[in-house]
Amino acid sequence: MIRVRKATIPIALLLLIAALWLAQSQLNAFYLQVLGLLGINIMLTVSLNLAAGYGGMFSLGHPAFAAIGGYTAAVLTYPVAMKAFRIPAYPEWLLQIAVPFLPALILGGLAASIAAVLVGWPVLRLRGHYLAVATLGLTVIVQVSIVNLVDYTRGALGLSGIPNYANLWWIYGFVVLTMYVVYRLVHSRFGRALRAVRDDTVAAQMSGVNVARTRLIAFTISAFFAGIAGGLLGHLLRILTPGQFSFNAVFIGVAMMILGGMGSITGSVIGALIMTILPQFIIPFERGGSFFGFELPALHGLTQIVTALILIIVMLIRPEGIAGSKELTMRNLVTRTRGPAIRTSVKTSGSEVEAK
Amino acid sequence: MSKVLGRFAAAAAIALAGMAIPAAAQEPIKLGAIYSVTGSYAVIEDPALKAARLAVKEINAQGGIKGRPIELIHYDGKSTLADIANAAQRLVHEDQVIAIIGVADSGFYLASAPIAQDAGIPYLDTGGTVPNLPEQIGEFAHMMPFGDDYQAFVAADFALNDLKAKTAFLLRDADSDYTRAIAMFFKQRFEEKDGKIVDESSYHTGDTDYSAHVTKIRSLNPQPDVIYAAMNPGDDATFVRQAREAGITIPIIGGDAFDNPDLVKNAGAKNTADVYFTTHMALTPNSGADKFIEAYKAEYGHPPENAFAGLGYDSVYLMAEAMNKASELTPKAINDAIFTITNFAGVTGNANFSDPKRAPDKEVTLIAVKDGKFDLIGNRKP
Amino acid sequence: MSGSAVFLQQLANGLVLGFLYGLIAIGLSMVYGLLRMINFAHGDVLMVGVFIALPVSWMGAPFPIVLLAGIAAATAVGGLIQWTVYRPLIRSRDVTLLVASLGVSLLLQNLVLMLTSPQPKRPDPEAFLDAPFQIGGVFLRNVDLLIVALALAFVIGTHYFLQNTRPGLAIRALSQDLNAARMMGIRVQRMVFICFLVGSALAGVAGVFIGYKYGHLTPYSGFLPGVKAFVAAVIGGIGSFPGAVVGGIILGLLEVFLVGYLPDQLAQFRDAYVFLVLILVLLIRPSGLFGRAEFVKA
Repeated sequence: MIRVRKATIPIALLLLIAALWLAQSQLNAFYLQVLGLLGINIMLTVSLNLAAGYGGMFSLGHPAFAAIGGYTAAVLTYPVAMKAFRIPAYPEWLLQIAVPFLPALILGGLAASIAAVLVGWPVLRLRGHYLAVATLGLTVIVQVSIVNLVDYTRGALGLSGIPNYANLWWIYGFVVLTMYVVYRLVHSRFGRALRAVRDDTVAAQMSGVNVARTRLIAFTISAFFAGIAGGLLGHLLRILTPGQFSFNAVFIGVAMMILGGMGSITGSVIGALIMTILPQFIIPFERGGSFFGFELPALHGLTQIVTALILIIVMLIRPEGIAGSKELTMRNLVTRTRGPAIRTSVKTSGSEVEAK
Repeated sequence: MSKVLGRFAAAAAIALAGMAIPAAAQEPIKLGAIYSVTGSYAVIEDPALKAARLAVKEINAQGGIKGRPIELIHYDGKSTLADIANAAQRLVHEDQVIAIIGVADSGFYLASAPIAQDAGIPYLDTGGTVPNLPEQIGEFAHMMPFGDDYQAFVAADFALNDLKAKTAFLLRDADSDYTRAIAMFFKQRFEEKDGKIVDESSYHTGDTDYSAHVTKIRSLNPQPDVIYAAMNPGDDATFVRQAREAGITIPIIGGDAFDNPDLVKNAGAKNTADVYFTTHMALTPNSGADKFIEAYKAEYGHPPENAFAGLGYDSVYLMAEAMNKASELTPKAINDAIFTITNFAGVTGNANFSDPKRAPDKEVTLIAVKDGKFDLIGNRKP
Repeated sequence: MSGSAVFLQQLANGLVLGFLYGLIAIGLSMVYGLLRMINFAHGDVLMVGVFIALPVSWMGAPFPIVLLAGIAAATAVGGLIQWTVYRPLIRSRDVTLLVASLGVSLLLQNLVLMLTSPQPKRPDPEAFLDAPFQIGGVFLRNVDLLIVALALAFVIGTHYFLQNTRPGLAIRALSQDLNAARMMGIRVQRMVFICFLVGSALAGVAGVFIGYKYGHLTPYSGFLPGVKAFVAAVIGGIGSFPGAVVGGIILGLLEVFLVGYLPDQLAQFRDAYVFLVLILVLLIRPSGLFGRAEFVKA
């Protein structure tokens, strides 16, 4: 169905594997951590994009799914020796086991999915901003619960001492998987139904699409990957706190998605790159000192100000986000060189790669 | 991507190397610092950073350590976990500091300390007060403040013995680990010694309206003998003012968060009668810390904003003492030297750092607010 | 205190808090009514307004002058933001506006932080505002009465403006159907601008009152009230003007009574209950208590 040039994907994968191998063997822990955070942010943004960009479900609840997935995975892999006195409230059998990383991650993703079904069932009937506010409520409820259920989560202090299993292989393995699944899903029959529901619910219904089911499935899959991203985050930073899943996380997530472009996987990567990597270049200038011959005072908050300006300026220049709803594919690269043949309308997003 | 980063880091390193330092004859000693100067923790960590800078300046003016100046390399933690962890990685692996000081929150410390521990770099916690942080991390973790248990126990004993209180009301910030911990330890000690907690109430970080809690206290019959207010800095004055203006006159006891000039300034002198708190140092004249306060005033134009300034100041001096004592200027030698410091005379009190598992054994300062002035009651241990 | 006195006192506490939320919510609700935009920078406009008014207070100016300064500053900042950032985006999707407003919020907070300090600040106390006031067993301060009185005055004033003036009529027409109103010759940009000015002015009022009532202002002081006011606006029926005020009052009462009457073990979950109520309101009456059923822009 999808006729991307046959060799492109294997070559891209090989390049990625080579880059990961190089990174893992050559770079110090600082770069590895930043690259790891980048991968997790890409996952979070792509998964949010599935719900919001392709599905029209503008969710502000994805940090809650990341939190549920993260805490579930962390509780499962947590060293048995520390479980009994740090998180004593769980049943005895759970305190006695430490689950390997992969099943723990997947169980975390499933826990997030179950939450998504339970919440999505009633809430997905809402549209637009009403859905956004209801899902923001989910984020707050989950966060408040983590803070107060101290014997299950260690509360505001955070669940520290999580094993550091998440290296670049794990993270980018899941990044590729997320991108692949979302891409295939969006360009399948299901994806067309999903976009039809987004663009015109009534028309979609008339053409036989089960609107509620379509939305719920997309929402649940989206939550699954957000949950896995949460699990990876905990096992990268070795700690999870409720503060990581607060309003701030909601807004950063939305900003990454909109900045890159709603309904574009390429855009999600761009958005995550800008919000994760760019600050790392600005941080050295924050503490002042002399740079290239200029004396600068300490400029606390410089990173945030530059980020804010980027958000505002990109929205002013490209309201549809940097990538819009387009994808970077070989085919598009070729078309681009021929002329501006790429359609930009939201409603036809992705159709240019859907050559039959 | 990584290549670009690397190149940039190299450029930054060259730029840094070009920085002119007065005692340029000797290569500076790199001391890392992680303090959040933006975000919700800036209110306490910004004073800690300012005081740490002051301490470094003083030490360098007196010839540095073993003839070498200290260079304080600070990154903003942004009150965000990932940024704090990134800052720790950057200090350890990019700047290759030989010791780190920083953060005023136990969660922040737990997020960054394993990085220093793995690399074998001593990391001194400036203000996170979970009593057994070093035990949770490992041998390279150290704490500057006393633990939450110390100050809450001293506060409970003070309520029972000095104020002759038999009943108490607990108010705490439910969203913060520190406030929950001191409330818990206060309750534990108070009830152990036959006091009774008549009721409790929780507010949330960012709240400024305490009217519901104040009314809850007023509705108690009989009134409790004391209120233990486990609050974060900045909240203290707002609550004290609202309680007093609603006619609540019973004594209010707070933790180290109360130790800031804004308590009286923002709550008003008459409202702070019968307010007591435990803290790290007495920010009053004649308490031994006055030299520090004067120096801070001279440097920044105002007195230290809160007790975390003193902790930041002492953090640098403790590291300096360890560096002086160390056989050589390596992370391991400095780390070993910290354990040999048994009688550190800091502005936040005398402390013993020999216990590798717990917060230092340190006296708790007890303060009464009288006529809008901080009055030293004494230094105590639980 | 007797049980009924406690109840009345908590009711008064909740009402005062609710009127503050309501004042902030009006601006959010009006803007949403026109542009379907969640303006996350609204609370920060409040904060900048009162931060500009603070030095006026420190120079010894009495409360009315400080209030005017706060209103003027917030109005100017709100207008400036609309003119430079939101105005060019009027035809963009709602999410574009939302992200632009997040950017503005982040910018305002950090600019104020960079120019001042993270330490909490307050206006110089006013003896008159702090003076206690008692009705029956209910204890309040003059500042609380003034909040309710002025909030009511501003609310009625804004209501009059919307109902009885030509720009008010135009704004109402716009919020019903932007395109139809445009075709009728209403100058959309100008009306949106006026909306921002009015909303920001009311936020300025709330900001100065927050300063005097609580005496605790930081560069982050505006954000949480902004989010809460948005919740209030949604409960009341976003886009509806009386709904914003009623939603504010409901939120204020909810926050106070949950803490006042639940045992602490349960009261700790306060914000979770608040959002649970919000979700229930949305599920039962998606358009809020006062909102009209509307066709939501996709």
